[in-house]
Amino acid sequence: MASVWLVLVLWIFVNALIKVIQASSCAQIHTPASVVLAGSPVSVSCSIEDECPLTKGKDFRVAWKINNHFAPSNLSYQESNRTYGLIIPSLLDTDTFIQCAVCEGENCQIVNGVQVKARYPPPVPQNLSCSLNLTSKRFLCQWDPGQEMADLATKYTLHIFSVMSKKVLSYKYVIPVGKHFHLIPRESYPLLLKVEINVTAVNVLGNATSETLKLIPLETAMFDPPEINGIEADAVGCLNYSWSLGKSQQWLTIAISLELRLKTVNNRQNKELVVPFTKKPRSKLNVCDLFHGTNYSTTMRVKYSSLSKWSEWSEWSDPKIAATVMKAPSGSLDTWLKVDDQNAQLYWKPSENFRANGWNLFYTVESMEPKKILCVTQESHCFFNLIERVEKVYLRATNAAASSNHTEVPVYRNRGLGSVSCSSNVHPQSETSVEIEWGGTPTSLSVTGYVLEWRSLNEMPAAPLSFTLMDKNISSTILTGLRPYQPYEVSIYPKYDKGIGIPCTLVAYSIQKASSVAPVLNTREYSNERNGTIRGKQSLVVHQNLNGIEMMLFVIPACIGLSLLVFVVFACFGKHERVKMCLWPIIPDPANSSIKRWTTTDSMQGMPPFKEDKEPVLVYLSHFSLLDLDEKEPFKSDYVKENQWSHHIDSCDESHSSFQTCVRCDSELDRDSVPYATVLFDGPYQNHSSCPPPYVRSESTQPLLGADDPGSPPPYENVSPRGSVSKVQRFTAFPQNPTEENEELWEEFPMLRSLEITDTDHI
Amino acid sequence: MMGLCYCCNLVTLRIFFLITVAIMNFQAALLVTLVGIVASAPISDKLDIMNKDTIEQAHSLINKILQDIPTTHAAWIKSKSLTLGDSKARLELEFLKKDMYIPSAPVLQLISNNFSMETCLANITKGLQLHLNLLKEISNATTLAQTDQVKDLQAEIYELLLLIEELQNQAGFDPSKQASDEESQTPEHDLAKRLTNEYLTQVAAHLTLQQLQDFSCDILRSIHSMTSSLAENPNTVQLCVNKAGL
Repeated sequence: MASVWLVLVLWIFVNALIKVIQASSCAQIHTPASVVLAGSPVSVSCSIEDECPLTKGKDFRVAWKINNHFAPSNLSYQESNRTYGLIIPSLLDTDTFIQCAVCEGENCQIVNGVQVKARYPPPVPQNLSCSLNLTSKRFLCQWDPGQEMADLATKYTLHIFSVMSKKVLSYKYVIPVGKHFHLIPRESYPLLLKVEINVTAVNVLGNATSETLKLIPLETAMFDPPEINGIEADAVGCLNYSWSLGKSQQWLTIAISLELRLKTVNNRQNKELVVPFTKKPRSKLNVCDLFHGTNYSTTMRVKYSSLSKWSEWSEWSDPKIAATVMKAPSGSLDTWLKVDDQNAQLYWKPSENFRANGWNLFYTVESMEPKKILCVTQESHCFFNLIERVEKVYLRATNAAASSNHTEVPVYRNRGLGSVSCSSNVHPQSETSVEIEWGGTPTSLSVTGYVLEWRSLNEMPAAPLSFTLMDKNISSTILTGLRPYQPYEVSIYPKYDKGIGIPCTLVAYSIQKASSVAPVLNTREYSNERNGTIRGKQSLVVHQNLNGIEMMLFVIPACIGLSLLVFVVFACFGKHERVKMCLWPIIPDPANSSIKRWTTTDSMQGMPPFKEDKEPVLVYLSHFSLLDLDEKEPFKSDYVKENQWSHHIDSCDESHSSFQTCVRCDSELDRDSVPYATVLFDGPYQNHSSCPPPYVRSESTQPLLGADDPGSPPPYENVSPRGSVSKVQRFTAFPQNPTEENEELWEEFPMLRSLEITDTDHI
Repeated sequence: MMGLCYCCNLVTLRIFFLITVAIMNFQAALLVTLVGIVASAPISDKLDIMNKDTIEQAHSLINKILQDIPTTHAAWIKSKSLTLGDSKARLELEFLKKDMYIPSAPVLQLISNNFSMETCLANITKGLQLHLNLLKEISNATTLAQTDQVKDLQAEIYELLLLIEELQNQAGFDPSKQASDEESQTPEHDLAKRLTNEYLTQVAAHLTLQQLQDFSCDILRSIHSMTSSLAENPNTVQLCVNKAGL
């Protein structure tokens, strides 16, 4: 029975729930795909429920809204009784909200909606590349996915495909999301066989495939640097190399691309040569057209193939040095022979085509008639004696292998030929070069060429002479390698068939500056430390004025010294009391002092004595008023107007022992001073007896010192230095025991001491 | 007169016929001879047909296999009592080799009249496939962990296998015919049942690599005999010379 009731309750509950759900859902909306290809048509259908309260028993229509705007009516249609459709011919918006609305008249209620996204197929993966690491055996392929759409999943798959021996090997690998590379396993790729690799990208709207790579995996690998095992030089000046690949690649026997790079070592003619090869490993390499007798440093590098765009050069190998075989020096030497009587100076230098072809080069100068060796040297010049009948000398170069052919040098002793015009111009070109121009020679003589020689004038011992041979058509040249600010003697010799002409000599500088040496004030020759051509001399009287910097350099140390001196003085004498008095008087600290001490002699030490240079200016701070009741009307109030009473008392009368008061009131002073007290007398105060006079308390603007007696104040008593005062701190009667009481009072009120009345004191 | 001329013509015709027959026989004989020559072409002609780059690639790969076998052995087999090239151990393990039914590699001889190029290439293919299967079986055994070096070696053996098959295709041999003979008997597939513990698995791996090394030296020798222009790798040649000396 209970179970029946339970079932019934459940049924009622579920039914009600269904009705509730049905009551909240007025329409069902449907579209084939929520993501569509951009530009493609989209259809949406909206099915109105029978129980929809917006439509039940009402005259309604269904309207469509696209992104909150009512869709044109021509896009919508009625599919069936309660199903309505919408067709968008081409959806271009990336995100489009399509809403189904039930309208009654102008009142529309949205009953359901759907979001449709317009997207594109994935972009084509770009820049697919693969490379093999021979050490780790990893074959890595990577690509650029392009602009991905974040809300549209794109799946990448890498395909590797090869055909060999009629067998097709094909593997594909699904790439994890977010990764754009893949390590192809070793079992999926060959080393030496061609493969094809591409990547496809797929999303719900389509797919795209990258460019297909066709390569041999090994050609993408970077090899280890090769090794040069040995170098042999052959007789014709070639070098033969034996080489091998790096140890881990020595299994490879196919032909690969390699480069040899040769550089001359310690050679005048620095030369670098790069020679490409395509050879099998362990084959010999041959390089020719090298300088003889020259050391070459060789390195090499390899790659799979120069024709492959995937191949990469290895690092250069360790260098190996080897020398080509020597042979006799070849080429010609430029010579310049200067003869003066029997003294000959022969200079030479290699021409462009000269080749030493060996080392340990030396030169021999000899004559044939008579046969005599005039000079053997490793230098580039030679001085020797030349007898008259020698018409030619011969120069040859010899290396460790052989000697060159002779270079014939005619001996010209005739110097009386034409000369070069000395209207030469010197144009500095840079700090180390200068252009020299010279004029022509008389046309009657045929110049065969010019010799330009130069040497530095500053070097001791004398610098070697440099020369250059020039063609007859040349009238200017640029000398280089000069040292700045140094004089060079330049001579230009014309050459003729039968001899050398008269030179034009000048001094040239590549660059000049001010002379480093002042001239002596007498007309003597000065040294060569002039750094340039002296164009004139001037004598000047120069005032030695200190400039600002020199002034600063003098003043600052002087000030510092003076300060130190002062400091030392004060340090030594600062403890002297008089100095202390003058410089820093001791000012007592009020917070840590007492009045008593101020009055003692000790406390006055260290204080400078007070000197009154002028009469003290009396400042009347307050005044007493004395009122004689006999003379005036008895006042009816306590208030006493100060200005009614003005007494002017000039002196104190000692006869008034009971009351000694000196008051000076001045009408003029009344304005500045403050009324202190008004003392009333019932009779003329001059006639006071010894009895304490009665008096009436008066109004006072000054606070009294602790009046204990609320009644009339005791009479004021002028305390004499000899008398004593009572202990009551107020005006009181005559002192009983002047000395003791006074002393007590001074102890308590040291400031009151200054109020002591003497005969000459002024109040 | 007419009859005489007719007789003369007949004789002439007969003479011409005989001459023609003789000539034809000669051409036929020549043709047959040429065919015979071609049919029994020496190795040099086969080599001319085969792609030299393919031969060179095969040469490179056998070098690599020989170079990688020791490193694979060292990474895969930890037992110090199992060392490549140990002749004493080789003798002592003969029993286990037979017990585990590890097949021997095919024999490779120098190419001669008794041992043709076709047979040579076929035996190379057979031997490579055998060792590939053995390595696969041993790798699948859970009693010994596989290493990357074993995978590399398997990939190299397979690539060499493809190259040898390509050479067979280039030479006009039919590799599929050889393969059909092999499929009927694959004792290496029973090896896995006998790998009951780690020691036996290591022994099987050692024996397989040892045999592969010996077989690879034979392959290298065969390839060298194919052409004298191949540059020898002194390391592998030395290795195989040492083994031959044993």
